[in-house]
Amino acid sequence: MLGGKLRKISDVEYVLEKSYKEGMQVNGVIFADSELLEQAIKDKAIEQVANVAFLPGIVKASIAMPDIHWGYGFPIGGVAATDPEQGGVISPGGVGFDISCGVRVMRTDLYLREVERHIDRLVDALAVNIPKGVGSTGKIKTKRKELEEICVKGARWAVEKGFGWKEDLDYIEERGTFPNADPSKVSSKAFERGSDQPGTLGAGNHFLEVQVVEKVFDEKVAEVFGLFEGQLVIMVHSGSRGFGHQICTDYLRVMDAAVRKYGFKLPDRQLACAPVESKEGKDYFAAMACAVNYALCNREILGHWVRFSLEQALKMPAERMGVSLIFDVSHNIAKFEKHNVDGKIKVLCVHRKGATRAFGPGREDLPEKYRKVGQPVIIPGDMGSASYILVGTKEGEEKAFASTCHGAGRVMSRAEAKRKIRGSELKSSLEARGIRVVSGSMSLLAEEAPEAYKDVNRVVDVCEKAGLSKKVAKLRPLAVVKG
Amino acid sequence: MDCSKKHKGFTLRFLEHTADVGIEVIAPDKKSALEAAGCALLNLIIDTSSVENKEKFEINLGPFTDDGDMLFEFLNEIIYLADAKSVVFRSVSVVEVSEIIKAYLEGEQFNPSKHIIKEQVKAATYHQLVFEKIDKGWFARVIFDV
Repeated sequence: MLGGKLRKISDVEYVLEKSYKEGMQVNGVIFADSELLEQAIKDKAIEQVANVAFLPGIVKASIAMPDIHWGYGFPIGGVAATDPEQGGVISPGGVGFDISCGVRVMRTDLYLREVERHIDRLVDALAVNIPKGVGSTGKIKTKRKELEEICVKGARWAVEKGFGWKEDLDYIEERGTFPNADPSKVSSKAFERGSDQPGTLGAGNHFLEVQVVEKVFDEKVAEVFGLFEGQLVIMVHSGSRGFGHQICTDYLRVMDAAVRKYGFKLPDRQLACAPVESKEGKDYFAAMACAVNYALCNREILGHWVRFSLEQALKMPAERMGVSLIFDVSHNIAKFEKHNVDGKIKVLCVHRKGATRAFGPGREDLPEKYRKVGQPVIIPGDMGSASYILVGTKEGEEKAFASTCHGAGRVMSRAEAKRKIRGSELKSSLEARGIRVVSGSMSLLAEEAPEAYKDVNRVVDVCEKAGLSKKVAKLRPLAVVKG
Repeated sequence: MDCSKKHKGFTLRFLEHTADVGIEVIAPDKKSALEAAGCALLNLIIDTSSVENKEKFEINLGPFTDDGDMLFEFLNEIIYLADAKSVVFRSVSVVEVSEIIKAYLEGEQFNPSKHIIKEQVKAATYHQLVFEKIDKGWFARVIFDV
């Protein structure tokens, strides 16, 4: 397989030798079982794992999660850490256009059985209160000065304006504010695209789901996270919208020039990058941080509309329903983190594109409440089957720079999904199974059909077997709100 | 170029990728290849026949590092305008191609009760990007992040 360069380490781990392609600086490591591996090879995603291994200053390995699939440049489900002290680079392609695309889960004290008769009313309220769809504009129009504040403050801006609770901030990655953001590094075009999109869901694979906790796997950790079987929870999946897309586009050009300036040899132009410590690298990081803060603010505002909708539908204050944030985490991001490299603790620039940070127990970066058990990891599945809450592990820190999967991972192209599945039929079939669907576009709905995705159960099982994360709870969808 | 109509002498192929969508265009010359690639992008986003030409937007871009960069910049400018101004387009006309591009887009404000968005296109990427002269004219290949 792959010229004999792919070596099986275990049933869920494979190594792609760096001799596979001339120019690879490190091996590739793919966490997958035989079926997921076969899909990844067919999809040519493994070639992209090899291409990422060309990045200057990459350490340990170019890593792929079990939900890996073909992306542009980086595979989706890819993790790459570079060492800034060794000329390590930062690459906008390793973050993606939807900078800080991520997920949050909000818990309640409510059992589904107590509120089941009100679910339709809740979905109706969410459908009205959550701005969604392509080009959706929010109820919050921001001027340039306010957008610059969002860039620097992140979710804290939303809380200060009354869109969210102060205690939410502890349960957002980076306490809701990503450091080192500099709005002067962001173009006017990005500000223009971002001006009326804070607090909007967007379209594509972004969604909001009303879910029930179907099964708890780890009672102890679930209790710490505030989860129990039969509980009503809400999941939100969104990102930095057009603001982040424009920042990525702007800096790809900057990095494209940097590749020539620094004389890098890369197998794919979309892997354009610059040394972390260079002007280009620092400028991109400062702009990317603005987009991360925009996304964190966006999801906090969406969380506010979720609380508002619950109050409208159930006619009770959110405090009495115990509507609190379990965690909010990005899966498209580059961050500076401390990791063990050959026995030495180093600060690395960790790119996660379609991969989720999954810190094990003991990390100071985690909220005190979770420090003993590890970080909650939120895995949105497809809209017909299930989503998961996982917890990070110490083993995952060693094996994959504390990373795990980010979802089910696509297996069918969007065009194929549209050819095979009609949005209206899909809506009917989901509704026949008791899953209510609110979608602005039947065409976009068809693209996100469950059949277009891998089996999320298999993906999280591989993550657990590989030691990257452990299952805490399985969530079943009751209603989906999409753009 | 009216993107809602078929034009003789052009070849357009949509490429399927797991997560994203690509296009390949062959056109008689560089100017019309840019227009055809622009139209392919607009038709990915919306049924352009549902759009009326009510507003005109001017595009001025350049200089570029190479032809690929020109195509990348041109298509991303269309995406930026559509998103930032909340407009949908029907026509693309490129009036000058040298070290710079001068072009016009025509369309109207996005109206959710009239226009059905087929695809959210986030950006044109550098991945597998090609824009080059071939025997039959000009060839363009672009993968979009959707």
